[in-house]
This record gives sequence, C-alpha cells and structure tokens, in this order.
Amino acid sequence: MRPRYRYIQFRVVSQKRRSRSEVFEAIQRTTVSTYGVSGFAEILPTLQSFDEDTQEGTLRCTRLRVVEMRASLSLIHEIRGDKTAFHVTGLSGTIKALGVHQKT
Amino acid sequence: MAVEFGPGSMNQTGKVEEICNGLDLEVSTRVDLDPRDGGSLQNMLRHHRGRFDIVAGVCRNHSVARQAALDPRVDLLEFPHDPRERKLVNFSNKEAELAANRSCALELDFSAMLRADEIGQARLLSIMRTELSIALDNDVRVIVTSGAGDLYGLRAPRDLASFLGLLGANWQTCLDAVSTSPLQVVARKNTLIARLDRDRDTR
Repeated sequence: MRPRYRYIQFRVVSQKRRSRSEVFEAIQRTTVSTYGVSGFAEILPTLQSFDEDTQEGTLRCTRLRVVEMRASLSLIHEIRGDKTAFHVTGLSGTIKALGVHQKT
Repeated sequence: MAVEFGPGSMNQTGKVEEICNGLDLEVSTRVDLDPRDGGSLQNMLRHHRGRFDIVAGVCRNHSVARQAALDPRVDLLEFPHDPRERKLVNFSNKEAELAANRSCALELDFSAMLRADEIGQARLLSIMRTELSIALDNDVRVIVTSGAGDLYGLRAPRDLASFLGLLGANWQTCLDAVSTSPLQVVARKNTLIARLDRDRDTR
C-alpha cells in the first residue's frame, strides 16, 4: 500500500545562504544519526522544493512520522561549521493546502 | 517571555523590564542558582527568592538535588549539560516524589543536545529518557526550554515538543511541557507569595 505523506514548510536561518544540496544533506545526516537507517526508511524525508533566495523549502515525510521529522529538523544546529536553525512554518497533508496556509 | 540572569547581573533586570514594557511584553525574571551543596542553596535562596519570578536550582550533586526538591522556594530542577556529570547526579524517585509534593518542575534544556557531539547526544538522550520517565511516574511537571544563547539556538514550541516526543512522551505531555506547565511555573510565584504572607501573618 502506498504510504501517506505530510508536507512540512520550513525556513532556514543560517550565518550564510545555504544551497539546496547543503540543506538536504543536513536533513538526511541528522535523521540518520538520530533514528538510524531503519528509522530513516520509515520517516522517508524528501526535499520537495527549496528556494535559495528566501531560504524556504518544503519537505515530505510519512504521515505517521511527522513528530520524528520535526525533532530531526530541530536538532540541526550547524551546516558546514556555520550556526543554523530550521524553523517549521507550516504543516499540511497536501502541497496545495500548504500554499493556502502560507498566503493567509 | 522569560529572561534568564546570573546572580551577578541583577542590576540589569530593571532595564530589561523597562524595554519589554515599552513593547507591551510581560516579563518574568529568572535566576539559575548553582550552589556547591544544600546549605549554600539555602543561603542563595534567602538572597534571591524575593527578587526573581522563577528560581531554578542547578543540581550538580545529590545534596543540592535533594535540597532543591525539598525547598518550596525552588521552581525548577535543572541538571548539568555534560552527560558524564549528569549521570552522576541521577534524578531519583525520592527527589521526584519531593518535587511533586512541592509543585517543583523538572526542566529539560534542549540546548544541551545542540552543544553535545553525537556520542554525547546519545548519552544525553538516554539520561533524559530516564529522568522523564521518573518525573512522569511521580507526577512531576516537565518543561522543555530552548536554553538559547543566540538566534540560532531558538526553537518553536512545537519543535521543542517534538524533541520531548523523541524521549518517549505522549503528544499531550509534549504539548503541556511547552504550554500549560511553563505557565504554571510563572503563576506559582503568586501562590508562593500568598502562602509566605499567610505564614508571616500567622507567626
């Protein structure tokens, strides 16, 4: 059966502007180090989009592992030696609804 | 909003309150007491309790932990950030029982996780899981704080709640730890003052 997903809108606050690859690498690294390979497979984080100008992006994870995904994001505190924080700005079951939440 | 002060920087509290009042923010001042033993904690409390809204006791040994849990003037029990040091103190059922009777809360500082390396994080997770389970078994309120020293250490309440989820708490406990429990710690000051006044009147 196809797993159900949740979409997490986030903003990166860092000492330098971060690229899409740096952001996704940090997410993957922290998730694996916190939950292990098996946990990563259950959370299944996928970076849907990341705007390097606004430093905002959308991340997809499995519906039953949203809390774990948020905990992983909050544990990211540096990217390549620069202090960094991830702030979740929205959470939804569809990308479309996420867009509506962002506009309101 | 809570502002944290060291005992040596009390003269700055008025300035912060002034700035926040201008911004229509309510201020709660807090002091972290880091005594050597139970006796020096009592001395410190005598000096600082009346001046701050929230008093946290940093428990670096059993003597301090026991005294902090026993003393109604302490609002929060805080443990060292270093996992090796923290393991030696070991929050026990006895202290949890004392803390629960005096409505003292256990504070879990998220910044400790950010400061530790990977192995340190694993050790901290294990210790915090034990502390949390002892606290919940004994009905001790738990609060999670970001302990941020700068902008990059700040985390949203729900992100901090997720961290508590990582320690094995259910979602409602996680949400309480970032909403009702901190509010009760702030509100506790008023009940404490009322009780101290009542005690003084009866004497």
